[in-house]
Amino acid sequence: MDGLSFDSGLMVWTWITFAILFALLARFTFKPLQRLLDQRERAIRDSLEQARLARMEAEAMQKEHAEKLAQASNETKQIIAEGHRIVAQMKNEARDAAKREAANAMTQARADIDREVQRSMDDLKNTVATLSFRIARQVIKTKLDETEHEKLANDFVDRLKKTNVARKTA
Amino acid sequence: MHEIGRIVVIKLPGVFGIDMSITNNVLLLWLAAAIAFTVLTLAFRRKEPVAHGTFQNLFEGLYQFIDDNVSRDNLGPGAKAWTPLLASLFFFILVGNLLGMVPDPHHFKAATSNLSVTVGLAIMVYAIVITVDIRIHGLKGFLRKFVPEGLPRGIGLLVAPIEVISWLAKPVSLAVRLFANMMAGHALLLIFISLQVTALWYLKALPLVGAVAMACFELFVCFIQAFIFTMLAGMYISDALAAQHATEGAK
Repeated sequence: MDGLSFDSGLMVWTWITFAILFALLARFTFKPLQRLLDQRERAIRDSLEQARLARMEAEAMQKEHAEKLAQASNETKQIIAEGHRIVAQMKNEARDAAKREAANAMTQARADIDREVQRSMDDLKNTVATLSFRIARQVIKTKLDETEHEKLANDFVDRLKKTNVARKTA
Repeated sequence: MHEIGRIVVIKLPGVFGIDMSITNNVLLLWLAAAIAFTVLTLAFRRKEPVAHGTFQNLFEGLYQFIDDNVSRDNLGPGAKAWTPLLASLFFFILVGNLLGMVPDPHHFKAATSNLSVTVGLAIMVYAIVITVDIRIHGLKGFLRKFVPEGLPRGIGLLVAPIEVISWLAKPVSLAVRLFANMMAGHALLLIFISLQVTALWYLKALPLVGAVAMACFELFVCFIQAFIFTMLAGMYISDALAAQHATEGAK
């Protein structure tokens, strides 16, 4: 059991050896290592801080985007509603315009028809008058003046109209 | 099969009556120191902020383990200044312990399986502790801790020797714990190996299994004992730095 016998020289060599080892390690190994570890610790802390800031920024941006999205969604809904409203209004206006146009066309057509009827009646009246006059001259072989003849024709036409109206109402 | 004894390699003249000859035990110490320095220097040779490879990671991990668990946990805010000393102590003892795992008992044994080495290390730690204590609290403050405050003088005189013995027991236990663990572990390992050589052929496997199991356990003990020694050194230094002690000294 050599280990149990005390050797004071070995003890002193232990001190010397450890002192040299400590001096060498502290100077050439641990000092640069500690600097490196501090640098790494700082870098990690900075990275974590940057990551935290980036996360906060991202969260703020996300919130902002969500708000913008919600706003855009509302605006879209409003635009769509406005579009629907405008389309409905345009439909109504178009329908009204079409109705108005149709009414105008109808009125115009009626007026045209009335005018054409009136003109036809006038033509008929003239034709009937002329024919009556000719027939009457042929029948009575008498000469009538123009005024009397026209009065006679008008009376005839009026009677004819009344007869037509009475027939239609019947 | 037996452990190698003390062999004088170079005879040197004594200094103050101390034989300073270079023995095989001194060579083992130097080997442990050289291996510790070389391995650590190689491990930390890259000066880049990001660790490279398992080798660097392993030793950085061990260094930070000492920094976190021994320095910072015990020594508080000024811990960083003590980490190099404690890490040097840890790696020196660890390599000294691991030398005992070299499977050549005729030339190698654990450098720490020698009482002179562990006593030397314990005295060195206590010398640091006393220096720090006196430097911070003064000689009076240092001596006051042997007489607990508030005791009558008569009882104080009785308690003081007990306190001194209790205080001295710490470095003794520090030295003996490391020595005994390394000595006993390697002695057991040697016994198993010797049994394997001398056992009957059909029983040869048993000591071999025991030796392998013991070697694995001994590897674990090498780390644990290095850590315990370093941890206790850190705690003793922390006691010397303690503020409570400072206030007692001031009173």
